[in-house]
Amino acid sequence: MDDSMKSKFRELKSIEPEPDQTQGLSSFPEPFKEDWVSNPKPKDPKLSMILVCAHQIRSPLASIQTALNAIHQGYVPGVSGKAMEMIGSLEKKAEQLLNFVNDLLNFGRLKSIEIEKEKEILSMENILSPILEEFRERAEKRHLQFKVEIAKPLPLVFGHSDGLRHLFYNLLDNAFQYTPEGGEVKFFLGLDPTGKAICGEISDTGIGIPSECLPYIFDEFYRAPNVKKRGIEGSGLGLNIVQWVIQSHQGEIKVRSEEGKGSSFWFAFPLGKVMARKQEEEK
Amino acid sequence: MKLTTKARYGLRAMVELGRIYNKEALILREIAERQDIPLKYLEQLIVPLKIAGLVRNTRGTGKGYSLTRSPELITLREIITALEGPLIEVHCSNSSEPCVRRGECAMAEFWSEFQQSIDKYLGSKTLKELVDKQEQMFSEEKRDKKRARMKRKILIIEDDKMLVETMRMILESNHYQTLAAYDGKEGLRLVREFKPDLILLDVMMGTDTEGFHVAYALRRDPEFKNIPILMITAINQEKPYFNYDPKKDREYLPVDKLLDKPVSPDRLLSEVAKFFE
Repeated sequence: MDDSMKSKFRELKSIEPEPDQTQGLSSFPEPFKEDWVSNPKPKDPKLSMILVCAHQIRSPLASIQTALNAIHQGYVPGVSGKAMEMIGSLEKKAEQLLNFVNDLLNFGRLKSIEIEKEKEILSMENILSPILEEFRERAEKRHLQFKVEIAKPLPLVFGHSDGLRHLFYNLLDNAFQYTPEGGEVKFFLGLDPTGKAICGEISDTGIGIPSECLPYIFDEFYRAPNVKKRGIEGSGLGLNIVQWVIQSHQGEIKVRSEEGKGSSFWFAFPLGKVMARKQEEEK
Repeated sequence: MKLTTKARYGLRAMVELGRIYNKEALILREIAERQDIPLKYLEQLIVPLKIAGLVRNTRGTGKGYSLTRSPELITLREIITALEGPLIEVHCSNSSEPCVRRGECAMAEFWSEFQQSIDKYLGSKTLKELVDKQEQMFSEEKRDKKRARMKRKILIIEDDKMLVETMRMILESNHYQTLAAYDGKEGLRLVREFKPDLILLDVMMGTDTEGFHVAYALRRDPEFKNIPILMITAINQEKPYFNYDPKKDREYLPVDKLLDKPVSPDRLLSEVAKFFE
């Protein structure tokens, strides 16, 4: 669990009543109106709107999806034939919609935080290991070659943990999404020659991005026509988040792509004030 | 005369293929998992079975291995011979290298009878007999598991009634007993009354943190503090990155597992089953 989550829970526990053996389970605290899990209130009204809507949609949508899953998998008696077939399509639609809502939430949440205040000293290995684990599994399922090369040891970074997770996750997710079975995804991460920045590259042998689309791929909600034509679903927010994370870490990102051959995203961002911050913390 | 691992594993693979004969084809990994055979071994021993014409490999949709004929028509002799070669080689009558003591040896007749009776025995047993026996044993195991599940009480604390209904259907289809509460207080009351074996707990109910308080309250209570809690929440929006570790993070959030909504039926059942292993 992240330190930020831990401190949230510590706060939450502190309002709990003292253990009282005689009361046992009745010592359940009175409900209180505290906005604990919901997102920070963004100043930007557009973001605020997005967050409120996405939040309200997500929970019921998740139960709709579970219910459709259950019907489609035969847990609910009396559904068959054409109805069952339709339930199957609904299930897929619900999943797409849920993915879209999740993207919206991440987009709104990340963009409304005061990122400088939330940066901390991070180990890249800790951030990457659950992500790489997930993608290794996906690679096996989709019959993709997934090659990972991480220079060791990587120095600590002063950055935003959630932001960096989205950076890696979204770039890998795209690479996997747009690479057909049998293809290859490569992930490289290391230190740039100056030793003051992390640099990395994620490349794939997928469908590629038409050159005329390249200038727009980081735009909000933009999706290239070759992707839409193939019916691959997506929100068009992933790369926008990636670009925002890179910018808020004072880094840069470049893309190279050839339609039909594959894409490659190169990025770099400075380690940040790790040493300065470390010394400060030690004091 | 000792049967090799190849024969034992090979026979197990054939039994598995017998169970699905005429229904589906299995890829090697599936056979390996179902019969607990190391994949590397299986890759080797499938070759002689294929050469002997006992199995075939189909490609394309529904790809995988299947038997070439019904298990009733396959004898154990064919399978074992394919895997091991002749089980007993009697040298007396070996045509390429006849025994020099031939004609004056009292053992010759005995060995030859021995070989014939083993051949006859294996030739009289069909794969089907083993397949049936295996099915019977699996179904007994299933019945025992079902009996065990019927005694398990699961309490669902969740304010979304449709989700509660769905989860109950899924769990009850697997013969668990279920109880439901639509808020934290009611949930704690049912815990006291029924002492469930497992609690499925939502987070955001009346308040954004209600589920957490239910967990804290349960853990404070000496009688109920050991009931496992499976927390199912929609707050963990960011993929697997809440990074909750039930071992390390218990002091912050005392639950045994945290799942992100939506949870598919299969996932729900497999996660629940883990608590009763």
